[in-house]
Amino acid sequence: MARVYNWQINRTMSYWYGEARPKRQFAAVFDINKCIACQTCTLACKTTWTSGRGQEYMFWNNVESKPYGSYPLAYDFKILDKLGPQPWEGERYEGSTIFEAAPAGERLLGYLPESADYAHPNVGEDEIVGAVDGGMAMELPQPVWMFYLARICNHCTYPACLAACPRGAIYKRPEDGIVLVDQKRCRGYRECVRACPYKRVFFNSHTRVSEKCIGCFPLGEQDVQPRCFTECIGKIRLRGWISTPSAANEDNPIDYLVHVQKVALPLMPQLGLEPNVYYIPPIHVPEPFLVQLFGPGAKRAVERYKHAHTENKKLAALINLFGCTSHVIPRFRVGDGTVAALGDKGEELVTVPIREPVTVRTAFDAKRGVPRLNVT
Amino acid sequence: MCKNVKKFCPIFATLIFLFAFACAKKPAPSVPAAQGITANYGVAAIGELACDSPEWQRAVETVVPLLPQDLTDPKQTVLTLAEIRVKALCDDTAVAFRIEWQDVTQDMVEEGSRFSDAVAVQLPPVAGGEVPDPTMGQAGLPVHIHVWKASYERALDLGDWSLRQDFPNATVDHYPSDAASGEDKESLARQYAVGLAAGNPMAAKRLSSVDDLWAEGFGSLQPLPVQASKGSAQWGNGRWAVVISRPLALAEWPGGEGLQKGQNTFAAFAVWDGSQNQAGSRKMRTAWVPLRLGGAL
Repeated sequence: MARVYNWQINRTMSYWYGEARPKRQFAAVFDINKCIACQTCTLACKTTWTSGRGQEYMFWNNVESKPYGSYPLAYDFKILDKLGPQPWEGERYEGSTIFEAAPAGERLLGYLPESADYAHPNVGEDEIVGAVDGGMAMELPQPVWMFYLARICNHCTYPACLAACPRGAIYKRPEDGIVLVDQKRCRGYRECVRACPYKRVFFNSHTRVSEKCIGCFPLGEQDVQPRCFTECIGKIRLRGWISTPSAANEDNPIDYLVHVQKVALPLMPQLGLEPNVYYIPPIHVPEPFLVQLFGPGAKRAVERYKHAHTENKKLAALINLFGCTSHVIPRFRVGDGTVAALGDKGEELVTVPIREPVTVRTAFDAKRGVPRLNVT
Repeated sequence: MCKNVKKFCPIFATLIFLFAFACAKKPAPSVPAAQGITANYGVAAIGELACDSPEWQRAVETVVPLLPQDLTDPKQTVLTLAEIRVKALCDDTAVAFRIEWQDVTQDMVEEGSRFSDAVAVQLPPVAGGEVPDPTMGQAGLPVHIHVWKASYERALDLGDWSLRQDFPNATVDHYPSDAASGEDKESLARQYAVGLAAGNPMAAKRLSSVDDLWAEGFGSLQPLPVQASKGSAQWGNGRWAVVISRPLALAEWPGGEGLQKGQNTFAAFAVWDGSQNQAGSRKMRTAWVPLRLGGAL
């Protein structure tokens, strides 16, 4: 194995291939606090890419209700359990990545989900557990909290799927860092399905080859964000480009959220893939769970996000820019009460107010002599 | 004396019975791998041979030990099968291999976490000269590989794929292509079947249960430009019997002028057990076994 640098764990690590970063790296930030699990993203992706035969239970985008929801079932618990307890020393990960924990004869530590694990993509959200009589209250032995985790392929810098394929049928595009399965070369061995700890590669039993999220690259080539981004009702997603920490640019929205403010964090960075979808963690979830899911920077991210409107106007402005344009946002600029998305050459793509104007209407419409209802 | 004869008569009778029983149950003659495989010729219609064709009774069986695939990651370090039994027959234009092995599970579904049983025969493109690496050839010294899969055999039997073949109780609300009309129906279905649209033979409708491939080392497997081999299979009593027949030579196949009857060359084999999630490099393989393409019946 080669030695490569993974900035998310602050150290070099072992990987099947040498370090070869793309010219630009696809990246996204999802603000978990805004997600309402409407699944519009899921359906936008489903209707666009996976409505064919062999794709019936395939969701390149899904939204799961944490802590228990997961698709495929328990993918996160299973890989964390396989890896076992691993230490962070501050922001440096001292444990083993899935590449470093590879058993003898394997390229990495992985497992193949059961077919039935794909059968309940919305588990934890839509099952009925029984009726509750009037006046009853539900008491649970643990603090009551949950949140929605929207997931696509992370288009990792060190993809496990790519490392695992014995045929070299998976590649990372040098122009945008998007990871693709060569549909002509794949022979359906499913090493990639075993390997991806996020379980974002799926076997199509009709075409007998594996498929995955393509980051809507045909749209990306026109500087348009993926379908699951542009259709998002909660405006939780922002698509741009990420630099390495040493090359971070404050005017780049992804760099600003990830490297400068450090409010957006990778999913399970300890696995070692350097995933490129970043999450603003939920503000109401116990810290140990957030650390397990997003690494040791979770507490700082939550605090900075919570106090953005009072302590960091630029951050607050940028958070408001999510979902305001279908264009990929390489740069942004904060003005007097507004925030603008800018193209590569500084051209203005959209400008929106940092705070939407608020109008308070009285409960009674005196002009018409009627009380106002929500629908009026 | 008489008493002794009377005493030993039942013993003699038992021995004679046991000898007769042993003769009756004696398996077809088999030879070790070191003696090689002889593909006797003179049989017509090699491509039409089935597993139970009587012609096979006249072929010598070679017992070929399996090795773990312990050379490239991911490996198959555990042998889940010790040996295969190989017979071969040829005529002027084709050679057929009948490969038999023990497998208590019949794995014909390829879906999610289910893998297909499979077997492959590997041959150098030409006889003589430098012998390619037995593990899928090497750069400049390719090999031809013919892979039979149980799932291909099933696909030939069942015809067009449907989810219910794998999940009998599954329901599907809607495929957009089904609602389209005329040409749109096919083009829309193809749009979602990207492997098919990309021209991957894996995704195409099966015309044979055998893939014709060539390779120049691990990870380099590619389809041969013309698919010509045929397969036939039977599973029963915990054993697979598979026949793979291929042309001796095809002008479209790269690597030289092909094989001819009367030549001496080599064959190697690989087996995958679907119930053990074996696919790709997770397989059991053999060393090269001498192969004589010809020999009077």
